[in-house]
Amino acid sequence: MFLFYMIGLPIALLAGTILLTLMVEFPIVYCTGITRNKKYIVAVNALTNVCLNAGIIIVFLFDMSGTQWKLERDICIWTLFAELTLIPVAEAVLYFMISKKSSIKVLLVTYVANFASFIFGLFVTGLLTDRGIHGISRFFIKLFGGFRW
Amino acid sequence: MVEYAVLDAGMGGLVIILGGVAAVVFVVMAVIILRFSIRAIKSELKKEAEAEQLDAQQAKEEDIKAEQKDEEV
Repeated sequence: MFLFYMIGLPIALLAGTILLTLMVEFPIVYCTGITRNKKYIVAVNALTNVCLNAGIIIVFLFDMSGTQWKLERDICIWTLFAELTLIPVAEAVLYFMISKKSSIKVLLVTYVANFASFIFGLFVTGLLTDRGIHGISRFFIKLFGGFRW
Repeated sequence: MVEYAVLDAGMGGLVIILGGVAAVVFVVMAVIILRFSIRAIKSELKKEAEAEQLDAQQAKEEDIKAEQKDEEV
């Protein structure tokens, strides 16, 4: 069990997120013809995902007490910030270098792909973790100002 | 009470050690993935540039050939 937490968890986090993101983003980027270079798409996604996970680990280390839903809130804030600003822009810049499509199309497609992977990631986190779905829904309910159904 | 305090300190130390090992494993994995992906991106960009140069050269050669043919005619 200790071994799982020590070695399994970081590797599972990295490999799992990279695989999930590739599952969502690869078809979108490949089929819209931004680039047909498979190795390049995988490398770009691996690079940006490592940055996302480094942020998540930093949040883990700061909020290790795990009370008052701080962990979930901070992970939601970091993921929103990273997936909506940092990662699409970085990926778009990397795709500009190799793509022959217009830059607006590249930017739009990377934004759509990243947003799709963000939504997918929310669902997977909610399904896999015990408290994750509560924390995520709490954060979004607070974010949208107590929106009632 | 003393036993509980010792136990608490011991558990705290264990958590810090386990967390530290996990963080080190994460950093090592992250560095490996970063190095590989940056290398792959650089090599693919190089390949792309070389392919473009080859295309340009071929186009030039074809132009020259076409001009020569025109002159011959």
